[in-house]
Amino acid sequence: MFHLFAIRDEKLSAALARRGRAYVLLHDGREYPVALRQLPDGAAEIEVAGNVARVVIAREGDDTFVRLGGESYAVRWIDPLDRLAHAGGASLDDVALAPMPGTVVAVQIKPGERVTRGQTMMVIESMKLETAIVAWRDGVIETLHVSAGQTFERAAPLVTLAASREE
Amino acid sequence: MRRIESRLDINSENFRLNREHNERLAAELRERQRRARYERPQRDLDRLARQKKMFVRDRIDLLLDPGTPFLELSTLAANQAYDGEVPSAAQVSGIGVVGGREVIVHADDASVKGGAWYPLSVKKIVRTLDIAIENRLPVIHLCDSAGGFLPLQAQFFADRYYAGRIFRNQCTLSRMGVPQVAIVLGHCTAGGAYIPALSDYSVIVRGTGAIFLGGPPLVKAATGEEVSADDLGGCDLHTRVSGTADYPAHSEEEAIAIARDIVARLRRPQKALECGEAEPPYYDPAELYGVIPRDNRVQFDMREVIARIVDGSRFHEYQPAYGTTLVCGYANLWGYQVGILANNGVLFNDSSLKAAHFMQLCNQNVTPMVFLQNITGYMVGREYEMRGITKDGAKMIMALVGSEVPKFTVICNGSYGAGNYGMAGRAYDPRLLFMWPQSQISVMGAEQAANVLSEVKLRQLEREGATLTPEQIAAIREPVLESYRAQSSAYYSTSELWDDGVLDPVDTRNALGVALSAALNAPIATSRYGVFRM
Repeated sequence: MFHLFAIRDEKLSAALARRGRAYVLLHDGREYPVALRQLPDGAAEIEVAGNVARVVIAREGDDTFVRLGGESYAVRWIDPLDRLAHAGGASLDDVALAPMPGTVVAVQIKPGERVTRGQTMMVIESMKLETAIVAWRDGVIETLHVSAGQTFERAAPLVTLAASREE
Repeated sequence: MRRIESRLDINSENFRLNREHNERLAAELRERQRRARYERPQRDLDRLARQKKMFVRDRIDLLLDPGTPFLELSTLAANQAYDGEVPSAAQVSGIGVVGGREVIVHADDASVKGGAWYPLSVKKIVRTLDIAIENRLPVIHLCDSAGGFLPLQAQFFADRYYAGRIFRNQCTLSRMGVPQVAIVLGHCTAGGAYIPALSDYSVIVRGTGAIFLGGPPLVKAATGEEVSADDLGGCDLHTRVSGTADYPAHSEEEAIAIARDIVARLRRPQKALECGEAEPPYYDPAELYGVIPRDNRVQFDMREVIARIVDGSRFHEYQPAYGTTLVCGYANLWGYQVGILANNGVLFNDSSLKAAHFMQLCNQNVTPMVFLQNITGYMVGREYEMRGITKDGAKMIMALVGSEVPKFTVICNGSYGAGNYGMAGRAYDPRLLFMWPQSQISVMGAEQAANVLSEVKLRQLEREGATLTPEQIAAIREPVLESYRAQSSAYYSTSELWDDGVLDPVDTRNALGVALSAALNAPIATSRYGVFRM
């Protein structure tokens, strides 16, 4: 699986592979010999397919800033698990299921209503404990499966949000 | 180490003719492999697309680290079985790199008969897991199988090395601390359901993945219950309720990404031996095409082969003047030291003793062994029996079985009779065994077998006072020749999984490099031998 990087507004897929003691960069079906050498002043020398350049690299959280040829680039590695988590379209992730059997205490939403992530949609009671069912993402209520006072089994659907669109 | 000095004249007519012949065989091999890998009836590809499932080769591409080698095994399994309709035995198996970790992949190919397990599919899966056990390689299972092919169940269900062995091997791996990750990309039905259940980690794709002991048709027949595949054993049932699978995924891509994330977390074992600096062979491996004679009865010097496989074509030859029909010595291969045993003719008493001695040296020196076979057998005749050829061959086999260093075997040309055994044939557990396309493998040569059988028949008739006409002799010889021709080729061998694949000779160096590196994931024990008949 290739890595995906966001560089400025562009997305690039690439990978690094070993060739003996050296490395190659794989991109767009081609292989480029690459090397990175630390310089004493904290900068580094990068060599890609024979071209040598001086770079300064700094990291902050998920972002890496690269200064190269008078320009600065923000580079971010996109975790494939983040990228692919919502690639499938409609799914069970659009439904809140009852974590345990119980009774609906109160309902705070109506079908068609817009909710924001973290908003309480209903409160259920089970084994003397009240649990708030909160919106796990922004969205629109598609179906309300239960009403106040109703009892339900474990894993019964409670609320369905309209399927999120792929970004 | 000194470089081997090649005596080959690469400008000779003989070299040119050999090269043309062997290049043609290599091209034929590549074409057969291409067809087994990619050629499928359109309706099967359409069905995959309709089910929104990826082709098994694309799944594996996505799983492996880009730019790393993948040593595919037994690509041509079942090429001469089931009317050729089950390419690769509907399974892909191979050693590759995932998240920087050496693993072995086992994948059902749902584009062949819905990924049904034929008898040779089961043999291939069991073999894949045996390789995992011997080399302590983590396994990644890509599961997508309709279950066993029921009309042939008598050939894959009940016996010791049949389907039950798959699950037994899974438990053995887990007991040894070798992790397995199952990715459920389609159905895992009946026995196949145990593959994710017995894996340490399992990922399942919502919508297409399903695990059940009995599929919907069987459930309906058994209890009358009507239930969809998803409700019976889908992603949410198993990841939320039953706990049979661990990680839900929305798509095949996500499932594979999760599996890669799991593998990247696995502990990396210490390799059993250090790897030095590798050096390409001094002589071009492509010259192997000119080394192998186009007539497989013609003798050739195995040093010419060694020179085109090992680092720098350098070879430290052991006992260069004794038992010269077996070449023994040390070389480096992709930076790993190996001991090579290569046939330069029939095995005599002295060459057998040399083999037994050199194998013990390799074990003392903790050096993996590579066997290059071109062997017609041990020498026969009164003279050699008198000198104890059988007990010297027995010493060689005893040393081989007592060896604990990894062994690798390449059948370069002929592999006949007990010579196959003494030179680490399949029964002697080489970690991997490969064949070159022109190789022949059988208990004796076709001509010899036909002669032996007609000789036996003639004597029988002579005792009864009868004789045979030339036509009657031909009638005995012909069927023997025919069955030998059909069942001693490299393609027959690989169809039956007597080997781990047919190699283009120029790929031998790389295949052995991957095999060696993989083998060193397992620690090497101290050798212990039985009684040598002196």
